[in-house]
Amino acid sequence: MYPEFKDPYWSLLAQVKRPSRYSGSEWAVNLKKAESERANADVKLSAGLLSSERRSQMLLFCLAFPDVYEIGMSYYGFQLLENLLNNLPNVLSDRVYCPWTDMETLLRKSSLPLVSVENKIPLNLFDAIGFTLQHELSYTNILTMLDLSCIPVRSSDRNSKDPLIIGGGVGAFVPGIISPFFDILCFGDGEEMLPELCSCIIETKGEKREARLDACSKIPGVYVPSIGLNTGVKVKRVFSYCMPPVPDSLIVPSASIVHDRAVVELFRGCSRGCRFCQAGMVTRPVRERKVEEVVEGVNSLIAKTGWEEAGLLSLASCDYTGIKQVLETLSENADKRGRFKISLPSLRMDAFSVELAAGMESVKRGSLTFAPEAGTQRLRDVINKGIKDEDIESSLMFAFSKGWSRIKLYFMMGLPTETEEDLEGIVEIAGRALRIARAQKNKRAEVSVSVAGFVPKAHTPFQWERQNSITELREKGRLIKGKNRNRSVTMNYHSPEQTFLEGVFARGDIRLADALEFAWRDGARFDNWTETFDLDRWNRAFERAQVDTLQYTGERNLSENFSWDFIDMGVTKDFLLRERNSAHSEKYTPGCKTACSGCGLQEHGCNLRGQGMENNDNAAL
Amino acid sequence: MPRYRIFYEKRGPACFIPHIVLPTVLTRAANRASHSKNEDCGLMPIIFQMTEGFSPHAKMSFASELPVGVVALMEPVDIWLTGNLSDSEFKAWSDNMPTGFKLNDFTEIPDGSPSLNKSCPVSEYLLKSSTADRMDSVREALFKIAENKFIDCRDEGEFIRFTVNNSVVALGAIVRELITENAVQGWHELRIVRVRVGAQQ
Repeated sequence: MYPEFKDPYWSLLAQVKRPSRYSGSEWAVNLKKAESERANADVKLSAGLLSSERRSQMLLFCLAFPDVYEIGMSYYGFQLLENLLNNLPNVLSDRVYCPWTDMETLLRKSSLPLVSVENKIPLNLFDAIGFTLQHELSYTNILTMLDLSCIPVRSSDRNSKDPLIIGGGVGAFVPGIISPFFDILCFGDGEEMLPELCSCIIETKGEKREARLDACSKIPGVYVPSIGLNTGVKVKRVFSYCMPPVPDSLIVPSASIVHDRAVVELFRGCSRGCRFCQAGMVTRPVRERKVEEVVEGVNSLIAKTGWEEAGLLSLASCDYTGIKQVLETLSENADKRGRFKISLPSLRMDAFSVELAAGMESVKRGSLTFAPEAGTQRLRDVINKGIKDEDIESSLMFAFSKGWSRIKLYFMMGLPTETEEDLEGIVEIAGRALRIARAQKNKRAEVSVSVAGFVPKAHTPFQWERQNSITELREKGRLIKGKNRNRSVTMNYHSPEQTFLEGVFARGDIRLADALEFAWRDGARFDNWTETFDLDRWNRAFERAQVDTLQYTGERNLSENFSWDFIDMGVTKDFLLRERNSAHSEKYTPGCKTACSGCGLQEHGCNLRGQGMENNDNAAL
Repeated sequence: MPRYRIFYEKRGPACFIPHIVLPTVLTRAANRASHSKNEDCGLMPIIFQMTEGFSPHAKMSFASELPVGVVALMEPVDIWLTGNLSDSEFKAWSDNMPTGFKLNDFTEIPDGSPSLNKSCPVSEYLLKSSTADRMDSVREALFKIAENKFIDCRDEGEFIRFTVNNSVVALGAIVRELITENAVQGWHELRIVRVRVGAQQ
C-alpha cells in the first residue's frame, strides 16, 4: 500500500540535512522518456534492470557533479548535456551529485550504494559516468562518489564490468592531477563530442575495456590517460563555430537551489582578454546567439518550465551585441505574459552596463555587483581589465542615482607586480563609492568588498607567475581590513589556505594524484566548503606523497614545458607569452572586436577580427 | 475572484520536499499547465491572484505544516484565482506537478467561508515503526500519549490510526514524546502517513 516505506533509503533521507538534495522530486520532460522506457522494458528501471535485450542496445549515461545538489543543479552545463543526451537514440541520461558528509556516513553504515537522482540506479550499473570538472577543490568528492558506488577510484584498477569514467569541463584542461582517476578526458564542448563518444561506447559494448578505450581515443578531443599520446601530436580542443540550439526544455527542481531560474546562453567566449581569466582564454572564440533565438528561447523556456525568472548567461552580458534589443523585447514580453523577471549576471563596471541594469525593473531591488578586480589604474592595466577610473566613478554615480543602495565590489590581491599602493586603492575605491552615495544624500548606502587571493591559472598569460603564500595573503587581507575605517563598508577576504590549495591544483601535474588520494583517504571532503576544509590534512598528504608545493605555486620558468601544453587550445602559447610581457610593461591590449591581437583563433573560425567595437570600450580609445 | 480548495498528495520523493517551497512548486506547475499548447486545446491559463506589497506572490493558504518525510494523501490548500478552474485545466495542472505530487480533487469555496485552518482543524494519521520488533513499544507509548490528547486512536494491525486536533497537538510534538518515551530514537524509525485533514466528523 505504501511502496515508499519499502525504500531502503527512506530511513537515511529521514536523518540527513536537506533530504530534498537526494529525493529528486523534479519536473522534466525527459522523466516521461524514462517512464516509457520502463514500460517498454517491462522491468523496473529503478532497479537498474531493463530487459537484457533492450539493455544491451542502450547507453545509460550518468552526469556526475562533484558537489551538492543545490550547486550542481544550478550548473547550466548539465541542463544542456542532459537534454542533448536524452535526445540521442538509445541513450538514457540521469544525474548524480555528491552526498554531503552526513549522507556519506549513513550510506557507508548501511552499505547502500550511491544512486542517481531521477531513476535511483546505482552508479556502477551505468555504462558511463561523466564528471564535470568545474572547481579544483571539488576533486576529492569525485573519489567519494566513485567509492560509494563500489567503483575503483583509479582507472588502472577497473575492469570491463565497471562503467567508463569520463571527465570534461574546464578542469580537464589541466589533466595531470586527475588523469589516474579517469578513463577518458574530453577537451572541448560537450555538444560537439558526446554524440560521437556515445555511439562509440554503444558500438563497443561487450568488448574488452582496453579495446573500448582505444576506440574512444580516436575521437577528436578525446584523451585516454592510460594510452597517453602519440609523440609530438597534440590533442585539439573541440568546439563548434556557432552556438548550439537552445535546449527544448530544462529540468525544474523542487528543492531550492542557488540559481533557481531558466537560463539561455547569450554567447560563449569573451572578447576582452583579462590576463588572469582562464574562462576568457579557454572558451574562445566569441560565438554569439542571434537576438531572435535568445528571445524565442527565453519565451519558450519560461512557458515550458514554469520558472518565474530567466537568466541571460555569458562571461560578460553587456558585451553581447544585441543586448539592448534583447532586454527591450523581453521586458515587453514579460509585461504581456505577466510576471517573469530577467536577471543579468556578470555586469561590467561601466556606464553602459549600469544603464542596462537600470532599465530592468526587476534588478533594482537587490544589490549591484561590480568587479574592478584591482585598486589602481596601473594594476588594472597589468591585468588588462580595461576599466578606467572614470568608468568606476561614473558607474557608481549612476548606480546610486538610480536608486541602488547596496553595492558589492570584487577585487583580487596577490596580483603580479602588486604593491601596497594597489591594496590601498581597494580601500580608496570603497570609500569613494560611499562618498558618492553620501553626496547624493543616500544615507543607507552600503558597500561590501570581497577580496579573493589571486590564483595563476594554466592556459592564461599569468601561468608563469608566482602565487602569494598563505602568509602574504593573510597579511594583505588584514592590511585591507585594517585600513578600512568606515562602518558602512564591509571588507572580507577569501581563506588564504583554500586559495593556496586551489593554486597547487591549478597548475598541478600527475605527481599530485597520490597526494589527492592520500588526503581523501585521510578524510578530505568538500574542500571548497570552509566547514569541511582542513589544511593540516593536505599538508600531511603532500608530505607523504613527497610533494613540494612551492614547485607548483612558485614562479615558473618561461621555457618550461607544462603538463597541459599537449592540449591545442586554439589560443597559442606564443600569444600568452606576448600578453605576459605586455602585462609586465603595463600595456593594455584592446578587446577582439576593436582589434585582433592574433591569439591563435583567427586560424580557427574566429571572425571578430577587429570588426566593430566592444560596447562602451572607453579603455581602448 | 474565485477561491478554490485543492487536495494534493505527496508520495515517494515528494515527501522530502519541505512545506516552505510548496507555493513555488504549485505555481510553477500551474504556469506549465498554462503553456501555449494547452491554450490551443481551449484550456485557459491558470492565473493566481497576487498578494499586495513589496514582493507580491500567489495568494495561498495551507493546512497545518506537514513535516518532511511524511506521506500525505489528501492535503488541502486554498488558492485564489483570477478566473474559473475547469476539470481539464485542473488535470493539466496535476499532470505538470513534479514526480511524487498529484492533485486529486478541487472544489470552489463560497465567499465568506471560514479560513482553511478553521474549517479543517483535524488531521488523521497512520503510524508504524520502521521495524516490526519496535512496534509494541511504539504502540504502547502512542496510546499513552493518546489518552488525553487525541480525538481517536486505534490499532489496525500494521499501522496505528489516530486523529488529532491540529491546535491541540502537532505531529512534531507527538514524535518528540515517542522519543522521550524511548519508543524510537528519531523520525527515521517511524513511517507516518497523513491520511486527510478536515473537519471533525
